[in-house]
Amino acid sequence: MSQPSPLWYATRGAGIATLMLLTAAVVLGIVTSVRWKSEDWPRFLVAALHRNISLFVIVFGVVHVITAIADPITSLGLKALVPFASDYRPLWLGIGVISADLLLAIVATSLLRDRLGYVAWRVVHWLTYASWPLAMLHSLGTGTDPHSGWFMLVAAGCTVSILAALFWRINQGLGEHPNLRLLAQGACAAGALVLVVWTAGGPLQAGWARAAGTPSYLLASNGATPGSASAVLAPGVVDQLQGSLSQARDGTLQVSLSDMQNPALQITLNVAGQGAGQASLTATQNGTPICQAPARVAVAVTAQCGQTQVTITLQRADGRSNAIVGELTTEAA
Amino acid sequence: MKVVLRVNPIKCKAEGLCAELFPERIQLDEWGYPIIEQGDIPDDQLEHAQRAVAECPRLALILQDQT
Amino acid sequence: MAVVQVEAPTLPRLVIGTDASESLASHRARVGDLPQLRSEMERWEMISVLERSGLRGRGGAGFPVGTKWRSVAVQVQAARYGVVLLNAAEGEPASAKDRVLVALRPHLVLDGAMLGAQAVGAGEVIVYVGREMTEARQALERALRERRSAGLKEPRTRVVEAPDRYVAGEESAAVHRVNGGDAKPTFAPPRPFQRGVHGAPTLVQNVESLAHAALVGRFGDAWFRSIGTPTSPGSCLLTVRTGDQVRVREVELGTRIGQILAGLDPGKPPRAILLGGYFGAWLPWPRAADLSLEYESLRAAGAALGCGLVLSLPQDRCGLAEGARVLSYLADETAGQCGPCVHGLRAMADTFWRLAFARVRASDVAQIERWAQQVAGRGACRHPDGAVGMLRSCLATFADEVQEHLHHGPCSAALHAPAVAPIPDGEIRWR
Repeated sequence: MSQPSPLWYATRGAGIATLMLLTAAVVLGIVTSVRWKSEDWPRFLVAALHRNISLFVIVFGVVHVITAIADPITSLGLKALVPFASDYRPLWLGIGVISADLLLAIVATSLLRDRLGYVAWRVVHWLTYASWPLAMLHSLGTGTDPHSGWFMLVAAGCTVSILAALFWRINQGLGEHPNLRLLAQGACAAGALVLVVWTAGGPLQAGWARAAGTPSYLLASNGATPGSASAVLAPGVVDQLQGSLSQARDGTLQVSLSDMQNPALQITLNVAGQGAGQASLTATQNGTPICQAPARVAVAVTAQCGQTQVTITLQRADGRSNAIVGELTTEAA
Repeated sequence: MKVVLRVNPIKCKAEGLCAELFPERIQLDEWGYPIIEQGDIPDDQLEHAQRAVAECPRLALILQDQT
Repeated sequence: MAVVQVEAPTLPRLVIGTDASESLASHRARVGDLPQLRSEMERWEMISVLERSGLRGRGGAGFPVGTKWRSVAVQVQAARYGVVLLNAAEGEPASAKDRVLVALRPHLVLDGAMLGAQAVGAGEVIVYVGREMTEARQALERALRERRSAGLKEPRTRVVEAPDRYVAGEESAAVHRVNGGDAKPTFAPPRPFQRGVHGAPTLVQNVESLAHAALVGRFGDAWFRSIGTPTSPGSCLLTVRTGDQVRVREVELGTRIGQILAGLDPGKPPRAILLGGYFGAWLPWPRAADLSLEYESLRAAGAALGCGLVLSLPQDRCGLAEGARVLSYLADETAGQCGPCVHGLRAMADTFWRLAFARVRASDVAQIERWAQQVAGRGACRHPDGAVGMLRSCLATFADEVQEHLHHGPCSAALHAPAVAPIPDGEIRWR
């Protein structure tokens, strides 16, 4: 279950393509508004290219959304289409939803422009300036690729292009007002700087996935530092466990266990009150979490930590108290 | 069908796409505003006229039916 | 009610020499009651009377009044609602006839509007009057109150102020202002007679035209045609400006211009006149003296009655200087909506200014003509066309002066003599 599905790759690919195309569309839109033209680039060409690329943004955006929703790993469901209502990193995903909604709005108003009139169209079109930073924040906050160098290159390239185009536009629009011009350009540069600083201090830091709201059962496959789980919970472990059972206020059962052979290893099982067989397992080494995974409760408790299949058998130590004893075995998954 | 191309001078903001797309009938004056040659648009030019109307960013061009 | 016996007026018909605004009672005593058009047939018959009278609009365009009423009536029939807009905006700075007429005879003017409303089937009357015309506005408001208390059954009437701008009296600008926007012209189609105030067919008519119509409605088309010429019947109001004097005069159409100015400035014939308005034509003297004030012969001479301005340019003044000042004013008074007008008028005015007051080359004068060709007909209204017409007539009438200025620079009259044509200088407001 922790193997990413093809849809996961598809959604990331489509997402990045959308971001790049959106950058191109915004830049071309700015080129249109500064009324640039050349021998080879008449105005109608720039305008038509801007329009056609914007339509591609929608196409790739739709692919990105559909594959993300269909992906079983993140189990987003259709409620993810409502801003901030998803289970997966709600804030950052919601920002992406809003960005997409703005783009849909401009497509709709453009198709109906004859009916709506120029002014209404213009207002909505102005709002699409916002869709780019929202898309960028979304990709940095929701995406799982910030760490990789190539994505950073793409993001940096997009940001620089937008910044350059904005500077050009501001030069043209506020040419007569040097103070306002510097203020506007300074604001854009400051915005870009804030983006860089935030990225360094946020998405690029370890622990971002959890802080951003990734559901805990997904963190083993993509959030936890790799390698540590496999060291302690390597295949071939056969240890005795000892611990106790308690019931939390909301009805969930909690079993806290220590490994007798490896006292630094603590295992906690949380079982949902309905007893539907769904549980989660947390293993810590000297207090540091090394595995957090969903667990299945049947005859034994099974869970997957990294590449290791973990099996725990439990029984009451004696009939009257909450004391539990058990056995931990691991094998290669 | 007799059709005439007209510009709404109030909406027109000298974007200039029309003259690129329909140079047979549209020239730009020294300030960038379109001078449209008068007369009916012949059938073989109608497509260009329609394209100019569609591409005007300000929706300032109209094809008027003169029948 | 006693039957009031009235006599059809002879000249003057409009500007009876009172200097206080006429009360309803004395108005009725003078001209009797306004006929009531009770049936559809009577309404269409009244329109025919107006058509037969040959009355043409006195706001500047000279469009036949009866024809206009008929077009509006047809539209109102389909739209089931219509509006009459009484146009007293008089944006022409040198003209005073409309405000004087309204101040003197508000009831006659309102009669015309009410007659028009009956004839076309309008349910509402808008009185559109210039913000600066205090006397005229007060006279109208007083007259409306009088009519209401007299129990006259008239359509709902309200007063809307026009800003003091040259184009505020243009018919689509008037409609736009009444509809809540700026007093700036709009693109046609639709024209006001098709869709105007509240989107309904609207009859926009100058106050002088309505005053004549009010008399035609009472005394008939034959009476109206009893003076004037067969193709230019009736009388008209003129604003005659000679030196410092401004006179509003009513004259019979067909009168020679020489006769109009005779005796006003004895011993000194003018150098030229500006006829019709700031959008009119400069005409040299003495050729202008022999022109008669009628539509056909004026048109043949490249001029028109316009809004009735007759501005006399003394011998010791420079026609180019006057023309340059007027053109600069017209360039400032564009609504700022149409590129060719805004840029073209400014370009022409700047170069013409230098021709009058500084130094230009012959090629610059040729450039003015090229701009004139580029600009005419490319605005949403006729403002650029009027400016171009005035400019061309100025260059033609003062061709000698053009050569003088080209070779020797501005004449002393241009540099030192005070202006003749009044150029207002107010804050720019569009509502």
